[in-house]
Amino acid sequence: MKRVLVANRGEIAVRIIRACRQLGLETVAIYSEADADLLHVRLADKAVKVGPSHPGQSYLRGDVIVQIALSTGADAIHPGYGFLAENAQFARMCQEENIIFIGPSEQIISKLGDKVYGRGIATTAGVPVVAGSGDDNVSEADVHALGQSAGYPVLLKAAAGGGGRGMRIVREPNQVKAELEDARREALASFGSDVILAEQFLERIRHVEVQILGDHHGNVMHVGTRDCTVQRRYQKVLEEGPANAISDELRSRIEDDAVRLVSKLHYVGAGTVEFVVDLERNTHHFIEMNTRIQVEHPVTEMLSGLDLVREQLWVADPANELSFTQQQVQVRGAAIELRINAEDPDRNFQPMPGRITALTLPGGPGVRIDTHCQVGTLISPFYDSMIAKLIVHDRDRPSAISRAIAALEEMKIDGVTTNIEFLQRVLRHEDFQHNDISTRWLEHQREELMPVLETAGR
Amino acid sequence: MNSTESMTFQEVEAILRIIDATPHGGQVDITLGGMNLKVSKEISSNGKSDVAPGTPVQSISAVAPVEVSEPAAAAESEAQNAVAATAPAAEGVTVIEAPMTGVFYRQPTPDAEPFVVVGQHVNEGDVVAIVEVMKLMNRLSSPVSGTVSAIRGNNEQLVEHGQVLFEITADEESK
Repeated sequence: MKRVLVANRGEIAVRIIRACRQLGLETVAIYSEADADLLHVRLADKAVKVGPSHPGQSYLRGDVIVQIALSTGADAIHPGYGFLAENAQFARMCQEENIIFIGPSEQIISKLGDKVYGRGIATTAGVPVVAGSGDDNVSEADVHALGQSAGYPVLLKAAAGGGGRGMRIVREPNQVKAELEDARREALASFGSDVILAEQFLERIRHVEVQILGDHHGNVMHVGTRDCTVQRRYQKVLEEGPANAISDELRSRIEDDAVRLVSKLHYVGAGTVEFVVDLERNTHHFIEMNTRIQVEHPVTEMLSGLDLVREQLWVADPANELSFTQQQVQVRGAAIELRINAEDPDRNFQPMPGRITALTLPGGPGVRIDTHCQVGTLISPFYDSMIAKLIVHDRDRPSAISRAIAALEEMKIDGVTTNIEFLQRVLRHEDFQHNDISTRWLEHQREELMPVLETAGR
Repeated sequence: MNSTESMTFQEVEAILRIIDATPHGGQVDITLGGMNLKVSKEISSNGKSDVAPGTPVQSISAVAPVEVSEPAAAAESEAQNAVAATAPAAEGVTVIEAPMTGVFYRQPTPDAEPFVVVGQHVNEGDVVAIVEVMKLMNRLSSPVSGTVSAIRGNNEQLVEHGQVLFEITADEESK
């Protein structure tokens, strides 16, 4: 591997180019019409315009990107996250042209993209999933059996429903009959089908994920956990690590389960195994596995001192083994990542593209900024609205929170509306500071976290 | 507080649609907070847009170059350059740009004669080159009848979306 084409843009393209440079690998950047002036274009050894601004005509054109790799003599492609990162067809296209796709094989990507397969492999590996009836219609006896084995409450949902409609929660065995009858009648009336599915209802959950790395020699290691419980409509707002809302014992059980699951897969590269932890039952359940480097990977890098992107590049070569052993992985202190976006929290977090006219970034010990932005950078309406990722590290969670607040206070961005003040309110909130939150916390705190709308001057 | 008004993608698109639908040419310059949108549209004497819709070398139809930029002075010069590159009937030279990034071929097969050479006359619709993307051959045809005055793409090399490949001096009567 000598020359890597970076099939992405923005901060992650910059991040990948930096890792390549350190390993002595040449880089080829691609850019769309809108991105000609971005930092990744200037940092790469060579840059090729891939197409017009619209992602469908540029960063998602796998055929054009592979053609550019062939024509520029790149022998590997790093997809970053988003765009083509989990596109099995793109991975196959690379494979067919003898280009190393930096990630797992096409087969693994397509298998893990299927939730049923994921559940199956987790069950085979002895990793708990959310117990349920799968796609089968349930009988009264089935619901009783599920309630007995997995515990109440049990969620009943119409197979044809969606978006929360047609759902009922059964809290006691003696409610099963009535709730199931009502659910069926309702489902038939609303959706024309009386097929009802059941699963254990996880009321208060945290999102905990495990960073995994694997190589061609069958080594699979974990680099600890991250907690992404602060979400807004399944969008992560901030990520922290390690997942210290749960006991050390449960955390290490989750890490071991993730390694056991991935060890069944011949998995090469970086990946993330996602779990939910039920705070009432103190149980963990496998949800899915992401086969890419994630936005929040710097949290793990700050905690462990490892360079995950460099490790990805390193193990992409079949000759190389992971550069560390599981015993050498040490997670120290606490880290928090904040996604600084050009968006308006007052307007339902609507993206607010525009040109950055002034930029002051925080610094000091334990503060890291990953960004492609400079004064003059246009946050384009064509792509996601992320301006920067601020990652802080300190000896423990309370110190990391103070460091994050101080860093956000130092950060000044003019020209675009940002979510900086909103993030400060999240960090200062009592529930967040006490780590007493679940995935629905942010939605419930909306009013408290949203600023009062100013009637004048807007 | 760094709150500044700006346009969303949807709003920009709506503005472009409105301009596209009008029969008038000219320039529109909208400044909202830190964002400046400048659109220019040229209309030729026969009432049709100078940028002929439907030709294989144009990805944007009647609305010509769009610049979303700041400061305004820079947008001005960029916009003018773009206009000069697309269709200046006044000078009689039409350029053919690469419609996509890919490999540029001047001939249909490696041993065949080139589609066109400098000085050759082409009719509107004549194939002048191929741009390959992963074994998919995209044929480029001339949007005008005229004489090939320059070939700017290198044979069998990578060309980028929007790169000028040919200059065609249009016939007198086709202006």
